[in-house]
Amino acid sequence: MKRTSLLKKEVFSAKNRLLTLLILLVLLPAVFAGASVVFGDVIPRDSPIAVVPADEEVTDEELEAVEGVLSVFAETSAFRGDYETALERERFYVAIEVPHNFASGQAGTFVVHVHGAVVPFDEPSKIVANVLDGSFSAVGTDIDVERNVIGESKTLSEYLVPVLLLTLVLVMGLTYVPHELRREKNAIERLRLETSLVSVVAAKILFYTSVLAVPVAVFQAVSVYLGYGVTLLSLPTLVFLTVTFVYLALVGSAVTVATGFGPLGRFVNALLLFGVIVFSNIIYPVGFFSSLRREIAVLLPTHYSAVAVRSHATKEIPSTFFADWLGLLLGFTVLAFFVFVVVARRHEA
Amino acid sequence: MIELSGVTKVYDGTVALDGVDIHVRRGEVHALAGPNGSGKTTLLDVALGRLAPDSGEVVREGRVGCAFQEPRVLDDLTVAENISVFGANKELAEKLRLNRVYDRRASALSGGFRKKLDTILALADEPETVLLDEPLDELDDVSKRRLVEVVGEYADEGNAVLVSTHRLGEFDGIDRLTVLYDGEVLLSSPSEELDVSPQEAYLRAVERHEDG
Repeated sequence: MKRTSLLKKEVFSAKNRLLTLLILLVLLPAVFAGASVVFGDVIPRDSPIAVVPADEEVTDEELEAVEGVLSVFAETSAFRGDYETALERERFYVAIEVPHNFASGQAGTFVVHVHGAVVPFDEPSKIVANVLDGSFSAVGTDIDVERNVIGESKTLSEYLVPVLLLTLVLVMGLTYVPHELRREKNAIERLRLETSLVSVVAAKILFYTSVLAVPVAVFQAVSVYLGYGVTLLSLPTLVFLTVTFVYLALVGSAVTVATGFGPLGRFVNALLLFGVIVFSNIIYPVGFFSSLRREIAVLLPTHYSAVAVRSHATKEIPSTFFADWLGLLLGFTVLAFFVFVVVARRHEA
Repeated sequence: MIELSGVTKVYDGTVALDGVDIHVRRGEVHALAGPNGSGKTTLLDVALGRLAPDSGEVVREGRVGCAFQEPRVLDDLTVAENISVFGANKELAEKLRLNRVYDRRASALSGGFRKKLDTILALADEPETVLLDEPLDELDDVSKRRLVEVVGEYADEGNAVLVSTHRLGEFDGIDRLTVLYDGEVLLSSPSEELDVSPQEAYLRAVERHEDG
């Protein structure tokens, strides 16, 4: 065979896989490049910080004055709600409690609140406190600045344990389950004689959902061995992990079936996995990133999973604290199920 | 039992089946023969329900099992695991000497063993009707004889068997023969009413048709 014939074979092969190659060579690099631009905006500069009144006498003008001081490196907002809940739900990462009449030169105390379990904001909260303290010292007032850590302080290692567990769940849901489904491509025709594709996938997801107990137990065991204060074997954590897994496994399976069990499905699922991990801010809190990233993150159900799993594992909060987010995640899971059913029926038709 | 009445199926302007009538009865091994491209696989797909006919009627009674031209087995599982998953008959598997490769993954089997495994899986849970697409392909002579025996015994138990095959001469015990040509039925007759063997009847029917 001539070498030119081998080259011709590759050209024909590429022509027949044009869509896959477009994704691999064009779309994927574009997404990577786009993501790197967003990473360029990272830094505490955009972090959401709440400016809260110490009591009801604090005026809006006083809150706005503090907002102005910190606006250089943070996205500050006056907030008169329950700041502790807002910190626990990661709506804000730091809350600055403002005393009344601080501008008149009277003595007073600013309190910089931060949650001990949101480890990446430990240092930024100290910087915020120092900036405030420096500002007031410069104008010679008797105002003090204190820093208050809510809840138990955690280490970065403890913070990362639930994060890595969730990442594993995402990988299993979006790549391993679809991969297993694809490996059964040859037998799908036979399985369909006996049952439906929906049943085949449902059984697979059910099986791997139960298998999830193994990595959860391993993570918990290692955490105990290393002396981490992390609780993974709790009902709310397990529920969030399970629903997230089922949701993503349904999405990944729908992609696999819709693409005829072919290699295109693998690329799409890998792309989705990348997008979910990056744009849901599974690893680091979204508050560390640009406002654009925050706008994207709140649209992704896995963002809520990340915050909820991490919070239930490291914070002392009620089991129903994120019930509304669980409802949202369940809604997306039901939607993913119906999409999968439609895709499966079309494949079977 | 499966009965197709006046079934027509058209692909991209080509008539794959043209008003086909075929009745696969209980207790019979019904052979379906025809040259390449005559519509045999399309007919099996319609009979199985994988394809909807453009016109005509398909009646199925009871469960339908199928052995495909390309074996449809769980490749990552061993032979024993496949048999277990689909609830296939171990005695039949042993008769076809599949017990020799019980622990081997289906993906590592030779073509003949894969074909035999697929046939065993088609008979799992004893469907009332079974469709076999070229079941003798890639089988050694001993296995061919045993598979033909298994199929004959299965029909004798009151089940309906439709076999699409190019190997009529190797398939003893055919009760009825249907010959397809370009989607039309050239011949459909009980074997006992043929004055020659099913293989010879098939060849004559095709030659007569092609000679005009």
